[in-house]
Amino acid sequence: MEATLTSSNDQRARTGFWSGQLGYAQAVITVAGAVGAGWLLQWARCGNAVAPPAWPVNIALLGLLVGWIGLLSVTRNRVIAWLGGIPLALVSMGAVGLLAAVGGVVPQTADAPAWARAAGLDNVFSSAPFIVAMLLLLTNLGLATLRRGRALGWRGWLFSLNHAGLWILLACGMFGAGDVIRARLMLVEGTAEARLVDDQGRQGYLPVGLFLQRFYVDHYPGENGAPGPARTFTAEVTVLHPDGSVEDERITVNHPLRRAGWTLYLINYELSPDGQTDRCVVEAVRDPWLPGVYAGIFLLLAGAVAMLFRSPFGENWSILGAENKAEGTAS
Amino acid sequence: MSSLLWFPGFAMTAGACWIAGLSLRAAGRLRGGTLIYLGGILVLAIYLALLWQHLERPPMRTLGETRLWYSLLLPAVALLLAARWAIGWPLAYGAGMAGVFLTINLMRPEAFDKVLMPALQSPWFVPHVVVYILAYAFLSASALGGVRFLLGRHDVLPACDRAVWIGLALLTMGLLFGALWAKEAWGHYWTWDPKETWAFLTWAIYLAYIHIRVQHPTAQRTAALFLLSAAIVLGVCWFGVNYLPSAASSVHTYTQP
Repeated sequence: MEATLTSSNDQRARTGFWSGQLGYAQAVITVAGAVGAGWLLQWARCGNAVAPPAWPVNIALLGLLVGWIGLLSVTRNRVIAWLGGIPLALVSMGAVGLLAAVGGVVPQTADAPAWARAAGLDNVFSSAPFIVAMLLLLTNLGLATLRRGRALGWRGWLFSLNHAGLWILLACGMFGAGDVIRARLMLVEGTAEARLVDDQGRQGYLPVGLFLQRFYVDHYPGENGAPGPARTFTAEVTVLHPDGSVEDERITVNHPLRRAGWTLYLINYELSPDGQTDRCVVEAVRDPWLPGVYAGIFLLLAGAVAMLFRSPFGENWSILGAENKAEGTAS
Repeated sequence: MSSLLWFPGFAMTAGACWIAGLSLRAAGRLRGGTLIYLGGILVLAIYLALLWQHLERPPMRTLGETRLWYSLLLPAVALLLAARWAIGWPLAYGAGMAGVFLTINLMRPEAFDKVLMPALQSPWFVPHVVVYILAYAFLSASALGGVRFLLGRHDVLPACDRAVWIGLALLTMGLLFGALWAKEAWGHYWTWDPKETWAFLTWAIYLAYIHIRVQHPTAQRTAALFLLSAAIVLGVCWFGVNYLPSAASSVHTYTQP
């Protein structure tokens, strides 16, 4: 168990910083070095966000990461044990957390103050330092999953569900980001549209056309008979398939329409020049990695439910290994 | 919270039940005291049910409404902890915290309306919010335990560990329900919206606590201090986000008071 790396007495013979026992100090230096290198890279690129790689580069990179973790996991030595251990997990989570905290305070939009833009802090979540820290965390979490998930019984199940679930969720979310397409269609009553435009102004076409029959807003009752806030937005559309078939559907907030690998969301509406609500904005989203993300989410959910029934801090079951027990447990 | 549906009456009855229950327990009448304490919880539960019916939507939209749920669930969690591990102190803290939240609601009347914006009209709304508030109740119980440890009660840490474990499980569910809902409502399961970012940070810091406890079971003082830092992050996530510079771009702003 990795705990031996941090308990003080067992490796006195080896005293060098890297050749002796590996613990938090080495983890801090490793993570700080990696995140610092990420910053240098960011700085060299003049603060441009890292564009997430798309298919097939992303799957190749993910394959490399899996292969690298797999190779490391079959090697048994103190460095690998440390790489998959809790000290590095805590320090790399700390780095991810600190960067995320910056991103949680500084607006991650064009509203960010100039100093934050100059320091590259207006786009933390796609910045090189953040991605480097996440990759370290993924390496650590992957190693831990492969090495520690073999425990038997509840302990092994719980560990595997939570750690493998989180790994799959993070990996598919990160590596799949480059394949996510989010683009918009403007629909006007009585016309058909298939042309998509994304935030960068790039254009494309949906494999089906959408003909807007009717768009309407239903209001809550307001003061003195005037309409109150919106209760529902509804777009009644006809989906036009390339083979000539048509089908009538409706899209409302919280009820997107799924067709031909795309999910269509009603996200906004606009008024016509004469003040009529006759047009709406539909966002079309395509995310081929979603099944992987959902697999991770459902494994993690199963792990969370299992946590309600078994705990390392109860009387009859302990996640603490023999080494820790020898140190004396608190509970 | 206004006097809607005689709120002051319900709140004061609940508070009186808790004070009477705690006093009886202190006088050695454990069973009777616990029952009266439970009565206080039921009084609030009835109020919430009436409010839900009156508003024709789940009363979970505003901070004031979530304070009501918190006032219900914190004493309930305390009662669970007290019954399960035969410890009395969570009851006093649960009632004390609930009293603070009810007082805030009494002093800051809130305009109630029946409006539930389209994005919130989803089957995910109730489970997402209920699981989160329950998680917050367990986690703040652990923070109070941390304070108690630092004040010299060194036997409370195991109870804190259990509260964090359950709280973290609920937090995970709330976070993931939120992601699944966001996919249906907004098109993507995660966008690093400020509220999402702080929810992630809260989850991560309690995850770190569990790992610290497993790795260093004897570092008890560190654990207690860590619980207090985690509570600060929890506080930012819960009601601090609205005051951060990043909040202007948040899609969660309907929770603003």
